[in-house]
Amino acid sequence: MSFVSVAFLCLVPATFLLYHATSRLAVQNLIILAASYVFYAWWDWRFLPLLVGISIVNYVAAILIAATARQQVRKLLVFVAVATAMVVLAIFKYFNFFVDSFAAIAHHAGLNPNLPTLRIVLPLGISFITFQGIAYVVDVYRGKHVAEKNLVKFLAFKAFFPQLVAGPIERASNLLDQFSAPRRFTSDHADRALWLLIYGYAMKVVVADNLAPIVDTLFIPEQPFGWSVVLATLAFGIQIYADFNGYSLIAKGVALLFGFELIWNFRYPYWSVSINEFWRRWHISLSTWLRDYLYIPLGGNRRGELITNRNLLLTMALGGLWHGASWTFVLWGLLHGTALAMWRKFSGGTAPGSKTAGAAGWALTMLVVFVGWFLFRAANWDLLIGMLRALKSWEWAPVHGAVVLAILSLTCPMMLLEWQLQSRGDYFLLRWPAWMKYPLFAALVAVTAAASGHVNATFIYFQF
Amino acid sequence: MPLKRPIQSIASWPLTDAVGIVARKFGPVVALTSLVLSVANYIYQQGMYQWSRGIETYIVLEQIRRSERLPAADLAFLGDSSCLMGIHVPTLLRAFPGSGIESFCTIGFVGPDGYGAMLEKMIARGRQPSKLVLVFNPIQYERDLRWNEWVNFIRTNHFEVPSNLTFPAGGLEYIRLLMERAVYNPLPGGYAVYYGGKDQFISTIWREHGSAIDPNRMLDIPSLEAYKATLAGHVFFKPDPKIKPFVMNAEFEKALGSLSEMLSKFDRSKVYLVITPVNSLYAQGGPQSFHAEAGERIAALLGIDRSQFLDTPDMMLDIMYAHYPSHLHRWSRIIYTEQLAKALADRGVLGRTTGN
Repeated sequence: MSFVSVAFLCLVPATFLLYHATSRLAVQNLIILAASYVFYAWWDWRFLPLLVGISIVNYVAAILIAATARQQVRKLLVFVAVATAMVVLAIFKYFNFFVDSFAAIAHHAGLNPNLPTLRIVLPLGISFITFQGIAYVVDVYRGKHVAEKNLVKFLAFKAFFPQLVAGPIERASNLLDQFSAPRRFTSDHADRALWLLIYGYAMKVVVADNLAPIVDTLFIPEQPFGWSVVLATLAFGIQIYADFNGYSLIAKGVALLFGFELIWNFRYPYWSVSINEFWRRWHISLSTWLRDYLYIPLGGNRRGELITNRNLLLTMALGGLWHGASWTFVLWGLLHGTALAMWRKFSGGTAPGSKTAGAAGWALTMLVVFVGWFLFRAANWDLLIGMLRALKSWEWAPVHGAVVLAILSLTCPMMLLEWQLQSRGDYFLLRWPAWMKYPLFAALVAVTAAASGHVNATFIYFQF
Repeated sequence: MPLKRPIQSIASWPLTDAVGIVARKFGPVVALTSLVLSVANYIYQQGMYQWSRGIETYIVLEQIRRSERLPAADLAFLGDSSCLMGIHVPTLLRAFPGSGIESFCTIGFVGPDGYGAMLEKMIARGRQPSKLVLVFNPIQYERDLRWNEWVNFIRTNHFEVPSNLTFPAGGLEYIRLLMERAVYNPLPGGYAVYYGGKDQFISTIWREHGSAIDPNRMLDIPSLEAYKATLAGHVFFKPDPKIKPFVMNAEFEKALGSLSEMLSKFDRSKVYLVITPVNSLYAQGGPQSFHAEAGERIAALLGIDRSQFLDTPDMMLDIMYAHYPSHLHRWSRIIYTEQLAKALADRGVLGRTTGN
C-alpha cells in the first residue's frame, strides 16, 4: 500500500479510531500489528509470511543470544540470524544480478555457460526489513538492548507500517521501547503530525511527482543533448530528495497520530558543505546503520589511513549495492567512498572555516552528490553510456528552458522553507498565528490535491 | 439527568479525546482548503476549457490564433503536417529578404475543407495573404470521414467549451492548469525530448513563423553541414510492395470541392499548389501517379491552372525522414525548403531581393 493511495487514506483513520478507542497498551500494539500486516499484504499478500518469518527468526535469535552466556554460541547465533537475512536478500534481490555478472565475466573469458535466472518479484521494502532485523540482533548481542520477549510487541516493532517499506531503519532502542511504554496523543502530537503530513505530501506529490515524468523522458539511452543530461540529473537529485524525504516526513507524521516518535531521516542534506556532513544529513538511518554495523566492525578509522580508506570504499560500495542490484549503484557507492576518503585526507576531518571555504565546499559536495545521482539514476550500462555519449552535443533546445523553469519553480520555495526551518526550528510555522498558518496549510493542501490527479504515485525507495 | 452518565462516559473515553484533538487541529485546514477549492472552482467555471489536450489540438489552435493575430502576409502556406514539419519559413525568409511569409499549416486530419475554413476566417478578418500556397502530402489522399470533426472544430469556433467539471474537480483543475505554466507536463515521445511541454512547442511554432520540428530523428546531429556529411552513399529504397499506393478517395475529392468553393472568394491566380515528397519506401505506384498526376488533378479540382502546381521533389531518401512517410526532420526540411524557394523564385511567386 502506498502512502499516496485511497486505501492508505482509509487505513490511517480506521486504525486511528480503533487504536484510540482503547487505552490498553497490549490491545493498541495488536491493532498496530494488524494494521501493519494489512498495509503490507495490500501490495502482495503472498509476501506476508516472508515478513513474519524474518521477524520470527530475529525474535528467536535475540532471545537465544540473551539466554546464552557462551560467547561462541552467541556469535554463532548472530551469524545464523545475519546469514538468514543475507540469504533472503541474496535470493530476492541479488540472485539474477550475480548470475548475470558471472555470465558476463565468463563470456569475456570466452566461455558461454548456460546459467539459470529466476523470475523473482522483489518483496516490498525487503532491504529495510532485513537491515532493521540485523541491527536488532546485533544490538542484543552487543548488550545494547534486551531481547524482547513479548511476541506481539516485537512483531509490531518489525512491521510498524509508517516505516515498514522505506524506513527510517528504526533501532530497537528508539522504536521497540516505545511499544512498551504508554503512549499519549496530545495537541502537540496532532499539531506536529498535521505539519509533517502537509509538508511530506507536498514534497512527494508536488515536487517529486511533478519532476518524475520530466526525468523519465530525459533519462533515455537515445538522449541527444548534453544539457538534458545535466538538467535531468539536477531534476533527479531534487526528485529523489523530495520523494524520500516526503515519505520520511509522512511516516513521522503518521506515527505521531499513534503517539510514536520516529527519528528524522533527513536534515537538509543539500545544505551540506562537505561530503561527510552530507552523509550525516542524508538517509541518516542508513548511514548510521552502515557506520555501526559495517564500517566500525571492519575496523573503522582505527587501523591507519590505508585500512580506513578501504573500509570507507567497502562500506559505501556495499551501501550502493543495498540500493539495487546493479553495478551503477556500486559505482555510486564507490564515488561517495572515494569522496569521503579524500575529504578525510584534505580537510583533516574538520568543517570549512571561512564563508568562502564553506561555499567552495558546498559546490564541491554538490558536484560529487549530483554526479552520484547521475550514476544512481542511470540504472544500466546502456542508459549510462547513451547519456554519456550525449555530452558531446551542447545544443540548447526548447526543452532546456522548460526544465530550468520547472526546477526553479519547485526548488526555490523548497529552499526558502528549508532555510527558515533550519534557522527557526522544525515546527516554527506552528507558532505562527492561526490567521497566517491555516491559510498557508490550506493552500499547500489544495496544491497537493491538485497535483495528485495526474502524477506518478510510487515511491522511489519502495523498490529498495 | 438520565443522560448525564452516558455523556460523562463518552467524554472520558480516550477516543473522544483523540477525535476532538484531530477535529480542532485538522478541522480549520479542511475548512479553509474547501474554501480555496471553492474559489478556484468558481474562477474555473467563469472560463472555458480547451476542447482537447492532444498535440494535434495545440497545433490547430495555435495556427488559428496566429492567423487571427498576425498581419496579412505576402505569402502564406496552408496545409498538413508535412508542411508544418517540412517547410522551414525562416529559410524562405532568408531567401526572400523583406517578404512577409507565414505558415498556417496544421495536420492532415483538418484536410482541404478545414484549410478552406481557416482561409475563410482570414478573409473575414481582412487578414488574407496576398498569395497562398496549398500543401498536401499524398498520405492525405485517403481521407477518413471521421476526420471531419476537425473541420467542424474550426468552422464552429468550438475550440473552447464550458467546463463540465464540478466542485472540487473544477477547482483542482484550475490550480493544476496554473501549475502547468511553471512545471510542464511532458509531451509524448520525442516531442518531450526536444520541446519538453506544450508551451515550448507552441512558442517554437510562433518563433519559426508557423514551422515546427519533428523531433523523432537527427536531434543528435548538431548542424546542417554535419547532416549533409552523412548523406553520401545513401540511395532511394525500393517501394515496399506491402504498402498501399496513395490513391485519392471520394471523401478527399469532396473536401477539395469545399476548398474550391472557398477559393472563389480569393484570387485563384494567386493560389499555388505543392505536393510534398514521400519516403521512397512508400512510393508505391511511382511518383507519376501520386505526385505529377495527382497534383494536376488537385489543381483541376481546385480550379487553378496546372502551371500553379509548383515543381518540387516527389520522393526523398529514407534518411531525410523523421517519422512516417511524410515528416522531414529538422535538417532535411531546410534542404527541401531551399528547393521550394528555388521553385517560388523561378515561378516569380516571390522576388529574391525585395518584398512582394
